[in-house]
Amino acid sequence: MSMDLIRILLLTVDEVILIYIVFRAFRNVRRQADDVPAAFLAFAVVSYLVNGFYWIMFSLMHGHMRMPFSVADFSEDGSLLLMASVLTSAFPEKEKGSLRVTLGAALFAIGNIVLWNYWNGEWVKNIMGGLCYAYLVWHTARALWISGALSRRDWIVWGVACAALLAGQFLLMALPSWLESWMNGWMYALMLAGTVFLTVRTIRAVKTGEDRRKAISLAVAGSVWTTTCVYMCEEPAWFVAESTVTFTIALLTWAMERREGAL
Amino acid sequence: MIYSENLLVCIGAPLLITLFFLKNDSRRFAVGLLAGMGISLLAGYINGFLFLVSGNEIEMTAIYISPVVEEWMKLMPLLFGLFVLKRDRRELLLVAVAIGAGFATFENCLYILQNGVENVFYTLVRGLSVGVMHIVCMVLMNLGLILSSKYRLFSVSSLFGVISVSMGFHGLYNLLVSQPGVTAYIGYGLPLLAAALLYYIFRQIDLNEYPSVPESNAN
Repeated sequence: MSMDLIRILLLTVDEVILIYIVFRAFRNVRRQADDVPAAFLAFAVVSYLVNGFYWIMFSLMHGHMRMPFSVADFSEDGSLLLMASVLTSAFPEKEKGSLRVTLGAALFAIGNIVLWNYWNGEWVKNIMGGLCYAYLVWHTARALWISGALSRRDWIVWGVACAALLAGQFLLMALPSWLESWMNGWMYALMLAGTVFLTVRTIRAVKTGEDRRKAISLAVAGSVWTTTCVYMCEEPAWFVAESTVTFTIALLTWAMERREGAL
Repeated sequence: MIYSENLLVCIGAPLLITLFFLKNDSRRFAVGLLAGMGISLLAGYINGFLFLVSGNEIEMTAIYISPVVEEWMKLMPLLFGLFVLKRDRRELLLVAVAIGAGFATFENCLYILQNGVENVFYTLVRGLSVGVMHIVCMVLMNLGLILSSKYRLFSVSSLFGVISVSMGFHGLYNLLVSQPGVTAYIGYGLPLLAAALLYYIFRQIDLNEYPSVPESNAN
């Protein structure tokens, strides 16, 4: 079975799950019409769904996965912006968050944009998508800060993990090939550890009945982390990474369903 | 060569006259229809210009460029209605649907002039799918705008986010119908499915719980 076929099959499974999530998200909106974050989430998932469907159909119609810069990219960027809107509506405070956290978020986003440019060279697409990504990363860091979802120790560990991920990817460009697979293994382990950490924390936040905003910020952070990992993965790890994004969106929808907690 | 301006004059003139005899919602709907047709013509000019400048094939322009141009053009009157005229959500929805219908009507007229109407089945399918697609895009945008005005006067991120959903949907439709066969039939069915889902959502969500004008504007 070719890689493209596996990819299309997995994307189709993701799409089916996303359709279910869309229904759940709109059900949340129906239950409480003034729940603006839930409504933005529903729009974000629709945008993500449209992007995935476009990609599947494009590859089936044209026989290859490499797509030119198109409206599907707008959908992808739109889903990032709408996810940021989930956070701006859930955290309407004027507070900007700590300067260190803001700087860290900016550096992480810029580092990723530089890497994307190095990998694919599509600078218009990368700058446009990068701006949306940076906006979401900043809002995620701000939301984590305001909600107090991470302790001081967590922030330090998280900062080191993000820095290590970026440094590792930059290092991979210069390493000799015999060291590359070893380094790649470490990178994948780090990505997996980050995903597991955020997933466990989100589930714990929802289960233990902590502030709803804490759960939302952790779930969005998980979504941002897995999205970042998707861009860094190669097949077949890419398949897993793509599915984890869908999983984190499902987690976010679940976190959103909690009615308790101030919003 | 199709003289699209002449076509607009021909279709638009009777509608323009009706404005003198209509009032309230009926007049708003007629204005929306006219605006949709005008926007369709302007979008056609811009698409044509970008087609020449980009050097793409016409099919590629329709798939990659047209959805972006057309959705932005259709958004403008809605933004004007929401932020300048401060119309309420019911009026906005009415005008949004009318703009979508006007846009699709004019586009269908141009298509018929270019390709003929020999096959009544295909004409019906084309009329339904394009018409519904433009209306679905407008309703989606309108819903998003009402939503984004709920918590902030003008949020660029939510605005871009909302329009990207419409652009993505429009682009997906154009991609699917660009080749004959199964994909085209999926494309024709997609707007109807989306319309059914939107209808379901509209029945579930009470838009009255959303404010008429942006909150910060009302202060």
